[in-house]
Amino acid sequence: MALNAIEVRNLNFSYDPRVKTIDGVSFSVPEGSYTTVIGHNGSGKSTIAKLLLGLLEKESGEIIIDGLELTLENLREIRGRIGIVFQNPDNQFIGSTVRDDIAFGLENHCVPQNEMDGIIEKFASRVNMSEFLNSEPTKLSGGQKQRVAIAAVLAMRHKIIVFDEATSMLDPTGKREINALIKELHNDKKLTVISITHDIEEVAQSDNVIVVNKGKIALEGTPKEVFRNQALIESMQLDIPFVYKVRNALKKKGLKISDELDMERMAEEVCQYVLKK
Amino acid sequence: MPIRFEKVDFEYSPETPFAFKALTDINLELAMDKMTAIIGATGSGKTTLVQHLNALLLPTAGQVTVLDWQIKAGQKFTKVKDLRHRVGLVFQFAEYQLFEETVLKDVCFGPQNFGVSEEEAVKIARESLKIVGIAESDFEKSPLELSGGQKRRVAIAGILAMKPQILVLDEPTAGLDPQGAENMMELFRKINKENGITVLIVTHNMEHVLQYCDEVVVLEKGQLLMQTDIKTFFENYEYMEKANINPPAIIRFKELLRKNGLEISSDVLDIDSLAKEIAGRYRK
Repeated sequence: MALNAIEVRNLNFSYDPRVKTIDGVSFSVPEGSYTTVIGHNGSGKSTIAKLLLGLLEKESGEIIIDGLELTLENLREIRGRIGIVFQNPDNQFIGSTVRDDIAFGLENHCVPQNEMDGIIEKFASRVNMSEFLNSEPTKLSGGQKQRVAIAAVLAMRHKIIVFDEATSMLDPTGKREINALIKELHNDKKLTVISITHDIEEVAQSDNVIVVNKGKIALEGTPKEVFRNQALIESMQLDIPFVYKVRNALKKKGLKISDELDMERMAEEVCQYVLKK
Repeated sequence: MPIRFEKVDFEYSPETPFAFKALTDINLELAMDKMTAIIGATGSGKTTLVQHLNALLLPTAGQVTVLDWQIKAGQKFTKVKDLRHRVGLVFQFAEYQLFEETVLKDVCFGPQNFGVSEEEAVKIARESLKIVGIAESDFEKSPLELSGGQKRRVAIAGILAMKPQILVLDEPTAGLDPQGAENMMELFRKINKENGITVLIVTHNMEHVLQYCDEVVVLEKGQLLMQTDIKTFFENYEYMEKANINPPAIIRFKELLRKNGLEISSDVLDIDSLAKEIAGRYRK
């Protein structure tokens, strides 16, 4: 059996005692997987992310990160294993230059000075920001700032990274760049990626999808399994991938197309079907 | 009465070491009563362009005509207040500008500034809040108690309360979730079609351009690259690729079908018509 990078059992949390924000949530994230989390605004998805990092304190339940149960005592140890990249590029740039920003986390973890430069250069290069090491944040685009945030997290050698809508404030070019970078970082399956996202095409390409609704897990599975439930997904005010909409519209017209998630293969199949005569 | 740009240049901090030319030789006429998208990469001059429409920026060369007013380079423009009464500009992240104690008071601020009586301002504010879909029960709340999307609606109501003929929106759906963004676009369509207000939208979202807009203006490095209707714009696939524009899903899918030997009519711009056409071809 594959190991789980994260296991959550019967998790509960409320900001306001009258309303359950997270209501008995259980799920697991396999090691090395690319897992996406979707849900309407206010569904509780970002709250779950903050609970995983110990940025919020759970009321009850269990959170196990990389085999270690999260407690108040081992927060530091946990945060050495799981990192997070937030939504707003301007709210997470701490240093006065790219170099300082990546160094911040390393300093906190008492990495010796003589090793630090090498680590910084390595991870700046990993996110393609080597030539900007001495640049100030005001000289960088949103996408570049998010790259630095990712480098800072990578430099900590976390095994698990949570992206909390990390591309939602970027322009299309920035979005494409960051999505490609995350995908590339995940390529060798050594890193577990959890991406909270509204980008339905990103969801379609992930290994697993967790759908959160009103503080509960509404659906869980591969994209194919999850998007089969079009009516349920839409009732939660969520979108389904374009190819699924096309397939369902064709089905209504009596054409049977397989539940293919890749647009190119879907186009080929439609053409073969229609042009076979 | 049109919106016209004639040989417009705009340079930030001219004659300083920081001089930067953001617009070069813009010649453009925008149709009234339509919904026009202004697109282009970050830094292409979209925001600079629209800020000329209410004289927030003045051209450094050429002239801009908006409704009854002419704004000429090198000449003092004295009718700023009249112009801003008729051209409402909603900035990016407009919700950051809310400042009053209550939602209603915030929306009243604009009309009162233009000399409307308090009583009348409240009446207009109520109407405007209704148009943008803010519930009566939220009128007396502090703007801070509302969600991000609602706050932005209040900010837009504040502009609508000035009864503009032209509404300019700079990335009005940035940072909203997909559903919130759709609802916002529906609102602009309503404002355009039902209230007869000319709407200009700066956006990066090609799905919105396809679904909601009539015309599109493309900027690149401060120059006007193209101005055309939506159908013509999305027919030109090669051009979009060259201009680094990510086409809407349906346009990408149609292109893939074409490459595989199935040509779909250029009138097909939504999923239902697409399914109908594919099914029709199959039965033939």
